[in-house]
Amino acid sequence: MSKKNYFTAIITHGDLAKCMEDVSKHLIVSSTKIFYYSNKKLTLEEIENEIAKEREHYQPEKTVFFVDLVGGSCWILANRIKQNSPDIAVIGGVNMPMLVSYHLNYNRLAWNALLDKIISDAKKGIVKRL
Amino acid sequence: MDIQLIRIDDRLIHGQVVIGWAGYLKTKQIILCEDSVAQNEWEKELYLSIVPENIKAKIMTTAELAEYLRDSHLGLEKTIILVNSPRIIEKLIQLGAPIDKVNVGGIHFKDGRKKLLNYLYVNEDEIASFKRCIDKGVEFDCQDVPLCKRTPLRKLIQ
Repeated sequence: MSKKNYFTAIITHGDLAKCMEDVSKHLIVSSTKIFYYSNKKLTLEEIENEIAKEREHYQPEKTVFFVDLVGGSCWILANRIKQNSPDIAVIGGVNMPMLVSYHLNYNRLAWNALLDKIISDAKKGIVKRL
Repeated sequence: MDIQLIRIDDRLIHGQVVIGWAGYLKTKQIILCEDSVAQNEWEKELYLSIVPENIKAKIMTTAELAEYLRDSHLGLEKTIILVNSPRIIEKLIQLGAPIDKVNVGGIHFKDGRKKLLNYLYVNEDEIASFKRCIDKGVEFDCQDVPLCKRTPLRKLIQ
């Protein structure tokens, strides 16, 4: 585990967040703990409260929220937590290549470079073969 | 104005609305009616940013929407109207807006609310507000997404 203190959470519709976290654990050694929240199990208010509690506990220097659908209720929630904070990033369209890249590069890259890299890798993971 | 849907949804604009309903109804315009959002530039920008480019979006106060609905010649596009509570519907009616049918798409759990459906939790004040609207002739149908079962609210709050 790293000395970096980034709070990382996946917030999605249904059980997707938990499934993604489970799958990523089987693919790669985790570089950091990833919290996951489902809008099926908890209300948006409960998710917001739980995240506030965790962030209060960990006092992270940076926070990243991975969200499944830009414009969905999880996206709205994540952005509401972010408001104008430059230390919180919200990334929509999370996929497995993005999470794998996050673990692979977590210790290697600085914050902004890390975010750019995982978005780039997520896009590279979408391929069309005809 | 062609109003396709007046919807109560405490999440206001989100996936079920822009992908589910707006896609199904081929909506041209979404109007979000909530005073606190209309008065907060940051919230306005957030909600407007998530509406697809092919759909127009407006954010209005209750008073503005009531006026808009009274003067129905102001717009002719296929429109979804979103509010987050039955109290807004009640206020719109008090302000003279002609409303006869409302879709109840989602009011989520909070302390003090009881469950009526998986996506519908209400407290006593909200039930009273719904009942006052029903007494004024408003028909409420519960349906979160277009292809799910439609349930008349009247049956659930009798």
